[in-house]
Amino acid sequence: MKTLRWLLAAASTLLLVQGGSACIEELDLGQMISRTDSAVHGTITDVRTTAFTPEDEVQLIYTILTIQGEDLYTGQQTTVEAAFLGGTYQGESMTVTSMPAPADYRLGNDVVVFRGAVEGWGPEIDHCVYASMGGIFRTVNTKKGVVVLGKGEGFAVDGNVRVSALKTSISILQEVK
Amino acid sequence: MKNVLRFGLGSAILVGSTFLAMPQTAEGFSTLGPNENLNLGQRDFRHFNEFTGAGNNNTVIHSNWPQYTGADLAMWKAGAEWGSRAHGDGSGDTSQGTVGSGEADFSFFWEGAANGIGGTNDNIISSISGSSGGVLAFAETPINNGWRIRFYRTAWSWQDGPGTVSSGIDIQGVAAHEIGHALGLGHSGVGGSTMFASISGTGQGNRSIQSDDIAGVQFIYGARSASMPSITAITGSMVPGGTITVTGTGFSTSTNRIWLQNDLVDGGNNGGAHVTIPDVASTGGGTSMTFQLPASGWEGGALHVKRTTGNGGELLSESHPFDGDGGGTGGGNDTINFTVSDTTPNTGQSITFSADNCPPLQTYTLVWANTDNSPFFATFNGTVGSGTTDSLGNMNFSRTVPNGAAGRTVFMEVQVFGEDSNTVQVSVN
Repeated sequence: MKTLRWLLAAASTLLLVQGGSACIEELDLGQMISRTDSAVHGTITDVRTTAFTPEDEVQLIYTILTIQGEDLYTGQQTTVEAAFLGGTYQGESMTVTSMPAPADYRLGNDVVVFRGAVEGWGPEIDHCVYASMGGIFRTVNTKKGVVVLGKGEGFAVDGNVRVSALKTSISILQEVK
Repeated sequence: MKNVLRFGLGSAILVGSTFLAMPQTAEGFSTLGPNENLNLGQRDFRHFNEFTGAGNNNTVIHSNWPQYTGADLAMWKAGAEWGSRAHGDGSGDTSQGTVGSGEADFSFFWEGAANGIGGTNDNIISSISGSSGGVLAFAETPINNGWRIRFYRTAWSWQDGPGTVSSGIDIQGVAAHEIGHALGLGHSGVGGSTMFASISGTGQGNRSIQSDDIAGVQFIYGARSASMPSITAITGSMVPGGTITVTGTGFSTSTNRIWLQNDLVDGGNNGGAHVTIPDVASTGGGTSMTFQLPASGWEGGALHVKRTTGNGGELLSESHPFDGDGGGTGGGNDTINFTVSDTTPNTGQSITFSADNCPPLQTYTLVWANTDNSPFFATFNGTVGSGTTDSLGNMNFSRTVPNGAAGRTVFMEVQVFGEDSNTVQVSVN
């Protein structure tokens, strides 16, 4: 019985690593669209970190992703940056529960990232991965096309969906908006 | 060989696909890791309160939660909800039946106020201004040597309750979630649980932990032991030097320890250390303890009993309301009234710090706490100056603001004979 409990714990810990951890507001796709100015489907071509100390604050470390691909809001090809709080900079680590899982933002990953404007995150950052772990979704190639891996109830992409279908949904929601 | 290779590749893909698909289908609590838990020395938590407006406007004190109001009270309740048993009679939150639902060998110890955000291991909840990037709050991990929680204060419309929150975001609900991280839990896949990744609506529903959350805290710390001490009542003279009686069950025959809130308010480690009354014997088969309160150094709020026979978390009782008047300032129980002649001075200007209602003819120390150790009054160790209170319990201390303090904000207080004043904010132009 004890062994079973530890196996369950190991599995659940693995889930955390896979799924990340955050306290974010529940966002459906329409709400996510209303809070962001782009959603880029593409490849992570760079992952770097930076540190910034706001006035009367401690040093904060951010991870900045460069994503090259298509903006699903406009259909345009683009190369953009988006940041989230947390990371390791010059040997100092800041690990926070809002960070995406490491597997989500590896260099070379094909992802969909929802981007929102931010202020006060330092001179290098003007856009974030909106809702941090809630704003980045990996994709996989299938015979029926590229599929975005949903993250479950409460996330903007809750279930697995083809990128083409996601793009259509976005278009419809943008018209409603 | 070809078939073996195909089988191997197929299996790998199947396993990979399973992992990829797991986050959206998995249910149940998760943990931050196998070593991510808090020992008895890490049970304290405090709040550095910078919420304003509706986030800090509750002024109604509830008898089950003495001496705290506003966002402080919301934080206290959020931590107490994870406790092993009901806090006091469990009342004080109309949105849930009983506050104190964890039923594990685990309880937090509410240490009251802090005056800074502290380090990453100081167990302080605080807030941060500026863009949140869509995140409500976060906890800094790992937690096993302590933790820090930050709320994005200015990015959201926070509400301190304590009743129904119909708009904005409920501090207590979000705090319950973050404190769940602080005790070692990750996210749950069970919708409606406090540890579910996203909050719905105002987040008020997160105040009350659910069966999956309870299973999680019990997995980490064990289900509540039958031998865990429990407090049913505290009576007597709850003043410095007074004698009180704690009744309950499960007390050791001798050498029990009473945990009281420390009256030291700081933004570091020291303010999180509980005041201990050691070697308290019980009578009535471990159901009653009568002892004297210390003459200074403590304040009202919460009290715990720690028995001496047993192991780990089962030793520490649930928290119990303790409306004592120890003279401290961690709660709403200030006795030393501390003021400054100008809270927004210019460099080169002389300002005067004053206090009354101090212990008379005692040495006082004027100290500052800041978050980045920047110099203020050209000191780096936090001490600005010292002196002796007069026979009426007053003190005055003047100092010229140095050029190096330009643009800085600090929080000043005076410490006199084991008591701390309220804290005042000084922002230099």
